[in-house]
Amino acid sequence: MGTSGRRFRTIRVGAAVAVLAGAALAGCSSKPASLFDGGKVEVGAKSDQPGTSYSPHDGEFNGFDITVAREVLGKVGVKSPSFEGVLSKNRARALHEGDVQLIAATYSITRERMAPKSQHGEGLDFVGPYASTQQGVLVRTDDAGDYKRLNDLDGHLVCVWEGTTSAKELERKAYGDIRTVTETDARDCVKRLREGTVDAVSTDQLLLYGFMGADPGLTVEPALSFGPFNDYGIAMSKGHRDDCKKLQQALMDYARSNDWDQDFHNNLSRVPKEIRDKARPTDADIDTYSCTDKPGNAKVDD
Amino acid sequence: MSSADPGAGAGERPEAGSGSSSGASSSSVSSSGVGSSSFGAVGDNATFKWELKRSLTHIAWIPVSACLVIAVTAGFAVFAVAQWPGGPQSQYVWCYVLAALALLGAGAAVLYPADRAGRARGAERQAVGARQRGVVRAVLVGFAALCCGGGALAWVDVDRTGEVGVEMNIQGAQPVDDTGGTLTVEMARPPADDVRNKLRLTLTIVDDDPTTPTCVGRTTAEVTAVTPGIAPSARKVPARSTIDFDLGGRQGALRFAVAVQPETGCSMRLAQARGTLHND
Repeated sequence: MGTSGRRFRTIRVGAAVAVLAGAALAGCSSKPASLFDGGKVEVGAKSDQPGTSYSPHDGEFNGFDITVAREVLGKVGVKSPSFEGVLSKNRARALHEGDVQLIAATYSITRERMAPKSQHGEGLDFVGPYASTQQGVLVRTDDAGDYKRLNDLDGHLVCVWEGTTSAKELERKAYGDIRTVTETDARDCVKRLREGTVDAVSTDQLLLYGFMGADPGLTVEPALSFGPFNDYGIAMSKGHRDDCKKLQQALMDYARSNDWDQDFHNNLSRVPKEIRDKARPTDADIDTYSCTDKPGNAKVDD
Repeated sequence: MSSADPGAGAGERPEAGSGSSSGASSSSVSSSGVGSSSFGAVGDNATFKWELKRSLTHIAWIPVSACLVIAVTAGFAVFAVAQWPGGPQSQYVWCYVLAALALLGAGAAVLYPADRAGRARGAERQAVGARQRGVVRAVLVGFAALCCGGGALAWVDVDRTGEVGVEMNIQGAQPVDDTGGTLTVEMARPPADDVRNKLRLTLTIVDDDPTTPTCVGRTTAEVTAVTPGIAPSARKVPARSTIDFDLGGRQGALRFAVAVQPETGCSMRLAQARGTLHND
């Protein structure tokens, strides 16, 4: 074999080694692709909660959840996310199966949801809270003012729906005299309240103020708040911590600005200032619950 | 050991003496070689010289020593596991490292060839090479022995002064709701060997129901030392926290009151209280 032949063979072997090494390195890389690559993200949202997450027409979504998602995604370079409806019970599955990349649908941050699957959790990372709320009671406007304490509901029929904090809270012994009926979703409960087959509807106060804003015939009893604070977060499946951290920083910037106040008022105009102030997250709140496998600690003054 | 056998020994060698073969009144016989000893078979003045079959210098001391180090290290490891003092694994790092080095050093000394085979070399060079290899093996054995001793000392130090995990007993009604509640956390009197100057108490307060909105970030607790003489006497802490108490020379049982303060609507549980006695 001549000199040129050997040279060509050397080049061919070198090229093959380089290609194989590149392929091996690419295969070894454990960094997942960013959710924001390509600038398009699909976000799961609810379609039946006016004020928070609502779809008046096919493909059109509005509400505070939608606004927050658009704002924080805009800050990380995703200018036009697409939204699609998901049911409450399907939210985690939609994320894990890749139907959507994010969920912004009054999704409460819980220990079980944020724990990794290896620890029998749902394996979700949250960016939040972007809003917090206690449980409340919605009644017909004609009955407004009749219920000043929770005990005033004793013997009355309250509609809740499956899997909600209200459903669990009202099962507690302290509320043993309140009768409850469980429906499958918010729409059914509100329909029954309008029809007069139940006396009240109970769920997160912010959702109830959304229904109140959409229907003058319904009123939230302002004095009735109970249960723990529900902290709403934007959820994603674990494995995208870099993206999660970017969204966390974007949410912190957003929640600190006047935009949060303005957007909250635009979407949930009937919420009293006192409740709005409690709903607004601080940097410490967001730091406690965002992008972690278990909730962080409260800040304690020494 | 070889012995003398003037009658049958293979290496029988009459020593030059006065009249050894002339029937004089005294005779001196020296014998060496392989075989069993025999007494009284020769005259009264017979002298027996006892010699080793092989000189002690020919015994393979290095592999024997290396095996001894391995045996001692393994034996101490068994003892250490049986008498394990507990506490965090990090404090045993030196024990693990030194024991591993002892085994590696001793193993290397055993496996290191005494001579390089398969090469035709001059006798003098072979002797020099064998000597050098002997030195290397001796150094390896010495190193292994030092590591073995160091590992044992490190373990003894941890046993006497290291961190010791202690069981903390939680008492009181749980879960604690938003009206608050006080639980008692107790440590029984530790064995005399486990007495230390300080107690590191780690508390983990969790949501009673993991499926409800989490309240961990909004829950605090006030930990008060009920047992006198402990500093600090009280401290407010978040849900997951670690507090270091100076026991002030106290050696008996300890008791702490943990007042859990959940936020409105929250129901919490003190899931774990972990104690570690230490001196640092």
